[in-house]
Order: sequence, then C-alpha cells, then structure tokens
Amino acid sequence: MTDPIPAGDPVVAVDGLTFTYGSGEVLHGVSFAVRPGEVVGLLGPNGAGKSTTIKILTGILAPGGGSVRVAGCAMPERASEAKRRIGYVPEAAGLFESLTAEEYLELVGRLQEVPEDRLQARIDRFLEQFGLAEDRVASLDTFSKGMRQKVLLSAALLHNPDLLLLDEPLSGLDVNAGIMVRDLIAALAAEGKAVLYSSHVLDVVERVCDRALILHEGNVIADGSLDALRASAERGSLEAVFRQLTGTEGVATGAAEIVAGLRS
Amino acid sequence: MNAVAAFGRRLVRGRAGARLLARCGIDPHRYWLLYDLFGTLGARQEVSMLGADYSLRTAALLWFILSGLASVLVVVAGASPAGYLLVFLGLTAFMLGVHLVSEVAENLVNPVAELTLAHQPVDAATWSAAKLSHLGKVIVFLVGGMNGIPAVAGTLLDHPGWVPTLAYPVVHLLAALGVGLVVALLCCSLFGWLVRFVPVGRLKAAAAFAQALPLVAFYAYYFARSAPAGDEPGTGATSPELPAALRTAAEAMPGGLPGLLAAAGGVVTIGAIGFGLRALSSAHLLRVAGLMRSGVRTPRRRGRRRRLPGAGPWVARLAGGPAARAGYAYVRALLFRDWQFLRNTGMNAAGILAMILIVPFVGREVSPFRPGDDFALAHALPHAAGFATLFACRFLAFGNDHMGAWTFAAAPECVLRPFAGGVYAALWVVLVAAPHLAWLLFFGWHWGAPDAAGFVIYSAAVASLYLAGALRLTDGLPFGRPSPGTRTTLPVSLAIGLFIAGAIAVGLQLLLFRSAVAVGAATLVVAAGAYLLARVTLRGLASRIAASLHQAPSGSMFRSVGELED
Repeated sequence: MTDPIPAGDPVVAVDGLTFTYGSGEVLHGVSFAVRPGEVVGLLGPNGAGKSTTIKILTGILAPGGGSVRVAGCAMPERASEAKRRIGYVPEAAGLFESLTAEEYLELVGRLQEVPEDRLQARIDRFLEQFGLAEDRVASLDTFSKGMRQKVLLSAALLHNPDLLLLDEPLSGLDVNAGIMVRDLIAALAAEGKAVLYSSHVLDVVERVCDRALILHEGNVIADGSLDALRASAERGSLEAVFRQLTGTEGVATGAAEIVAGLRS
Repeated sequence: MNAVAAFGRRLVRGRAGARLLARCGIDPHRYWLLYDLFGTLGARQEVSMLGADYSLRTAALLWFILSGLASVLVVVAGASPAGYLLVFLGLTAFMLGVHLVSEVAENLVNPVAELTLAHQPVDAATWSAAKLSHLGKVIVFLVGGMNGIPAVAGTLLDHPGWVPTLAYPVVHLLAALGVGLVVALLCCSLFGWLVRFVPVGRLKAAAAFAQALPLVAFYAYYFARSAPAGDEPGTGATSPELPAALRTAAEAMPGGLPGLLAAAGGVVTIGAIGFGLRALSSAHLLRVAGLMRSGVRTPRRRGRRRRLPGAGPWVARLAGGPAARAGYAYVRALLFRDWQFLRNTGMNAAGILAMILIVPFVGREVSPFRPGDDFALAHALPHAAGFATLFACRFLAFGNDHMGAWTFAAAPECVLRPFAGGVYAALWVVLVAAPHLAWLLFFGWHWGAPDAAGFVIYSAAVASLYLAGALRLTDGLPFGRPSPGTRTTLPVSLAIGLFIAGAIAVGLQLLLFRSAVAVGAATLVVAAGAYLLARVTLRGLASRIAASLHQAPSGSMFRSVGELED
C-alpha cells in the first residue's frame, strides 16, 4: 500500500533539472511542479526535451543534476516507490506483439503487484469500456494503432496511479475514443490525479489542460494557466503563444518552397 | 586488380547483361539496386548471418582448415577416389544445408526488409532474383572453403583412370559447386513451399522449425541406424515384395532398382525445386509483408473467453507473488511465440532437441537400473535435457519484440527478483517438468513404475541443476534485446567443458544406478544443490535484468520512444 500524498504537496516537483545525452546538455535547469488534480500540458518543438523530462519523471533516466520528486519520492533514489504511483503512456511504444491484450495487461498489472482479483476485474472493465472485449485473446500484432493505444492507456491505469504521464495519448485514436480519453483525463483529474500531458497538437492541449508548460531547447520558457498564456499573446491563441515564444512567429513554414520544388 | 574488377562490373552490368536479365523477366535497373542493397544490409549485419564479408570469409576459412585436415585423414586412410569424392560432396551438402536453411530463412522470411520494399515498384521476379544472387555469393565462398584443399589433396589418390589425376581438382570443385547449387535451390524451394502452403501467421514458426531440419534429419538417420532391428539384417525376412510394374521398370533401368530410385528422386527434386521457386517468386512480397502487417491474411482470433490459470497461481504462491506470476506467464507465452528465440534455439540446439525426442525411443528397452551388459542410452537423457536448458537460457535475452521492454523499465525495480523466480519457473515447467512427465509415462510403460519414477526424478533433479546454472547465461531481460548480428552460441570452452563433465557424470551414473538407495540419496543432494544454486543465480539474473533496463535508454529499445520524439 502506498502512502497518500499530503494535501497541498505537489505530485511532481522538479527544481533545476539538468540532463546530458553524450556530450550535449539537453535540459538546462528545468523547474516546475504539478499538483493533484491538475492537468498540465507539456509543449515544445522537436528536440525541446519533453520526452527526456518525462523519462526522468518515470525513473527510466536518472537526472543529471537538480532535484526531482515524484509523489514525495526523490528520484532516482526512490524510483521504485515512485514507479508504483506513475502511469506512463509513451508515444509509439513497442509492445510484445505476440502477447494477447489480456496477457499484456496481466503482465503490467502483476509487475505493479495489483492483487489478482482486482487486476482481473479492472482488465475486464477497461477492455469493455475501450471496446476491446472481443479482442482480449487476439495477439497485439493484429491490433491497429488506435487499439494499441487503448491497451497502453489501460495498462497505465491498472494500478490506479497518482500521476499520469501521457505522451501523445490520442495518437491513432478515432474520434469517439479521443473524446472518451479526454473525458477520462478530466474525470481522473477530478479524482485528484495529476496529469502531465505531452503533445504537439495544441488544439487538444487547449481542450484538455488547465495549464501549459512550454519547453524550448531544454529551458522552460513559459509556465502558466492557458488563459494567462493566451492573454500574453497578441492574437490570443495557444498556437500564437507557442510560435511567439519559440521564435517562429513570422517565419515562413517552408511549405511554399516545397511546393515550388515540386513544380520545378 | 581494381581496374579488372571495375571492368568485370561494367561488363556484367552493361547492356548485354541488362538484355539477358530483361529476357528473364527481371528489371535490370532495380535488380542491381536491390543486389547492392542486400549486400549493404548484409555487410551491416541487418539481414543475414553470413551477409557480412568478414563473417563469410571467417566461415569459409574455418571450413578450409577443417576440411583440409579431414582430407589428409581420408587420403592417408587410402580411400578410393569415388568414395573420397562422395565423402566431401556429402559433407558439403549437409553443412551447406545447415548454413543455407538458416541463411535463406533470414533472407526470405525477414519481414522488416520486405515491408520497406512492399510498396515500392519492385516486381516479385526481380526481388527474388536479387535475393538468390545474393545467396550465390554465400554458396561460392562456402563451397570453396569446404572443398579447396580436398580438391587438391585428391590428386594424391590412386586414380584408376575415370578422371585424369591432374584434372581431379576441377572435377571435384565443379561437382561440389553443382551440389551446392542443388542444395541452395532446394533450400529456397523449401521456403517457397512454406510460403505457398503455410498460413502467413504461422510462417515464422514454420521457418524456425525448418532451420532445424538438416540436423533433425541427421540425428534421425543416425539413431534409426543404431536402433535395435526386429530382424537380422540381410535375411530379407520382412523385405516387402516389389509390385510387378516396379520390378519391370527396375529391370529396364540401367543400374537396376538403385538407378530407378535415383531417377525418381531426381525427378521429384526437380519438380520440388521448380514448384518451390515459382511459389517463392509469385507475390512473395505481399505474403511476407503480411507477416508484419498480420491480420492481412490471418483472421484475428476474437473472443471474450478467459484462459485457464494453469500453474500461474502456484508460481505466485511459491515464487514471490504477482511479479513471479508475471515472469512465469511472460516467458511461458513467448517461449513458444518469439520468432528470434525459436530460430536461434531451433538452429543451435536442434541436435539436443532431436536427442531428447529420439533417445527415449531408441533406449526404451534397457532400464538404467538393470543395464546388464548393455549401456542404457537413457543415462544421456538428464544431460541432454540439461544442455537444452543451456541453449534456451543463452538465447532467452534476445527477442523479436524487444521494443516492448520499456514496459519493465516503468515497473518498480524491487519486483525484478520475484519476476526472475517466475522466469525460472516457466523454464522449469517447459524444459524440465514437461519432458520428464512424458518420459515418466513412456518409461513407466516399458520399465515399470518403480524404475521409471526413480530415473525420472533423478533426471529432473539433474536437469534442474543445469537450469539453475544456465540462468547465468541469460544476459538481461528475457526477450528484451535485438538478436545479435552474429550468432551467439555457447562459448566453445564452456561447451567442451560441459560435454566432458556430462560424459564423466554418465560414467558415474553407471556405478550409481546399481543401487536404488544411492540414486535416491544422489537425487536429494542434486535437488538441494539445484535449489541453492538457483537462489544465487536468480539474484544475478534480477541484477542483470535491472542493468539491461538501465542501459536501454541509450540503446535501441528507447530510440522510438525516446530522444527522437522530443
């Protein structure tokens, strides 16, 4: 049994986080916090350090410097405890293709030491709700991308985590499943779960998150409520905020040049 | 030298070569593109074991030395030229079969390479021709290695005149190349048959088992020869009478019945090759692409029915809770489904697996408790089962779906020790308990229950001891790494050491099995040793799993979910 997080304490507390891949530092003193019930969007262009940050929070990578606490557990020293309180959905994650959906969920649930009867009940319920009940004995290599994503989401929730780390969780989902997941995130937040939602799709972040955190070249360049961020931009949209902060406002996207190349 | 090579290259790839290829229905431009691509992929060890030139040269050099030594021995023994030639042609056929079945499987049933090409404008004939040409290089190297010295050494034989002494090397090499070509075509056609008749969902497994065919055939032949015969040889007491039509045909054939059988075999071989190659080249890209896409041709299994729990709850109770059950269920499932594991084990341990299947049948008459004057073949079984666990543990860390290993990195590290216990339980159930249960029933029928039970319990204890030690060979999370480019088999020194230890143990067993009490005591000691050793090696396995997960972020496992996504 895990201890409850004291009221008012953040589920994620990152202070001065640095990280180096090989010879290059990719995170330069990142600091932020996520509190219970908050849904925070993690935004940034490619190479900003979003996935590295998430992997450090999951305990998969050890921080290079600074302090990271997840559910009150210092990382990486107490990563094992923290992992029990984290549900993680990576983007485009590999799966054991020859396992069935049921076998994969059982594997994850048992690794998280969920009691067997509770595990089976949750698997039944999740597969039913995600529309995969008829496919529980089908091997994962026969699943579409959206079905795999549903399996990954189910796996992340099996042990009832306090913190959800979602990396493009709507990737591959159809419209109905996407709406369902958005409602699910809102419902989980209402239950007091903290959600860190990494995405490139700004529309979705606007609809799902209360707050956005924008990373650029390993630095936090914006952290605030969506309303506050929108208010800070001239055109009042998250996209405008993003382009303004990442220095791409007014810069040509290159689309016209590509089409011109096709014409030549 | 480079100028000559460049000239040859221009000649082959010039207009005349292109016209020849086009006449065969092959697109010359794409043929050479693919040929070069396969060469590059092979050199980087992406698609085949022997694709890299240095691997091929090493294998050829090894055979050059070994066959050279063998040829000296055969020449010194005073073999006839025909017998000498047959020995090396047989050796070439067998060893080339062993190498090529694996190589062809790697080349033809490798869905990754095919998927990248399936949507490109490449027709099946061009693709197949490029693949087969790439294999041609392997044949030339291996046949040359296996027959280089024997062809020259053959001139030392006393030639009766059917071939001039100085021309013998040329005849030998041409015959060997012919044999190599037939073996290669047979291997390719075998996969053509598989592609044609095996459902795409089962193709990987079928190809894995096909790789074991040469060795299984060899052992089956060897043990069938040494099996106790029902009749005295040569009496012809049970020889079936030939049907009249067959007898007439045999009499009309030069060489009699053997000639007739050879002709029939030739016709069947040519037919099999023709059909197999045709099946291989027709829409192969579509079929093999279906391997990865799956579900394109195989109906997806559907249903809500839960599986029976099996031994899982017991493993959870005995080996440390839900994580142990996770390890058990995970390894138990993937042992039979992971293509890389099946092909590695099938190829490297085919002989051992064949022994496990054939020795009980051959040795069923003689109980180890009552050997009399005869050596009980069953004495080898505990060690054969033990060796099988060595191979399984050696290849356990490599899997097809290694990208799924991130699942374990997201789990608490403290569950890895019970997880390792579950891994041991799965291996024990599949590799030790299952065959021993079958042997108990089989030997119980032939030897009676007391002898069978005594032997099987002792054998299971010995195999468990091997398994406990073999876990040291599992280098990380089971099925959690990509298969290495070069085959990772048991280190030679370890294999030889264990073989000698096994032989000594068999010798000791001959003495031990004179007393049932001694066997019982030995069983208890060995079982206790297995338990204690397993405790130590499981701790080590858990540490190696943790280490492999820590290493993973900088390796291939996380590339797709890692820094490239940022």
